[in-house]
Amino acid sequence: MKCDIEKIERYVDGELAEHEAQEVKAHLDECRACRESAAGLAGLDAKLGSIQFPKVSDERWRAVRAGITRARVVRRRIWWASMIAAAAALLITIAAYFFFSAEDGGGWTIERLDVNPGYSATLIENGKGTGYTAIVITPVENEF
Amino acid sequence: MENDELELVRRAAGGDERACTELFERYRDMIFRIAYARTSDEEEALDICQETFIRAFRSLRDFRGASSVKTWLVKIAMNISIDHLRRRMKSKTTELSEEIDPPAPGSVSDSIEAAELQTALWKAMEKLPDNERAVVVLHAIEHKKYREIAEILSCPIGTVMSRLHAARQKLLRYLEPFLGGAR
Repeated sequence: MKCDIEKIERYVDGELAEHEAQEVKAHLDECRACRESAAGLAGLDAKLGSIQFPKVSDERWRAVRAGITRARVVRRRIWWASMIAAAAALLITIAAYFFFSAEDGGGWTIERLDVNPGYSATLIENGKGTGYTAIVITPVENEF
Repeated sequence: MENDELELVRRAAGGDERACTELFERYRDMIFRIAYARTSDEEEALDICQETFIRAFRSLRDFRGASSVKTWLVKIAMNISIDHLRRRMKSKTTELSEEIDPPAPGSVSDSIEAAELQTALWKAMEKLPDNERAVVVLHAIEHKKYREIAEILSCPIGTVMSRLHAARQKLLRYLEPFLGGAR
């Protein structure tokens, strides 16, 4: 094997196949310059591995975690708000369909019944007479 | 991927806060190290850390386990770091020589020599181009194999090797006084 610094790097990094590693090892036994290069690379990696990082306090980690949770909550709220808005839009569309497709021009009938003491039910029937579109039960004291 | 990790991801994807916390605590230090090594700024590194987990938790449902959670998170952190570095380049509010912010040596070592080495290591890292520094961080600090680094950085293995080689040649030169003359 000829002197090949890139192959020696792969050897130092443990990235060579077994037979290639054996070849490099044999070369290093014979070549002083490559042996020194390999030692230099290993020394550099050891120094880089010893690099120190700042110690982050628990309080700061808690703040980071809180920020992540906040983002999740906000996202969840946005999701629910979108779902509610979509459901409302769907209901309005259905109601509008019944209203405009009614044969008598959309004349709904509204009937109030006393269902229980203190409550009344408002029955909204579509113009086709095919059933009630909505039933709204309200406490009597809240009615105006 | 290990079963317990897969289960943890499944629970977190289902909205289990405890699983999210566990994922965060398991990987936060690693993400911080990567972010700090790329930015040399503690505040920015913590911001990157936060953004990484926010983005990861948002897309947990799409995580298919093709790579480990660790590799997936590192990839996200690397992309966010790039965004931060680009923003920093645009704003250019700090001089390059002032960007080096090595951790206070006194807090990590009593020896002056060791403290000098730490300062020299960070200065040398700071001098590397961003793409070479990314490879060094993943290889020498996070002990990733070439294949994993290529996957994280979305580049061929040959590119990983050539960047690592170029970075090492520079680092050997910058750190010569600390390496006992061995090259």
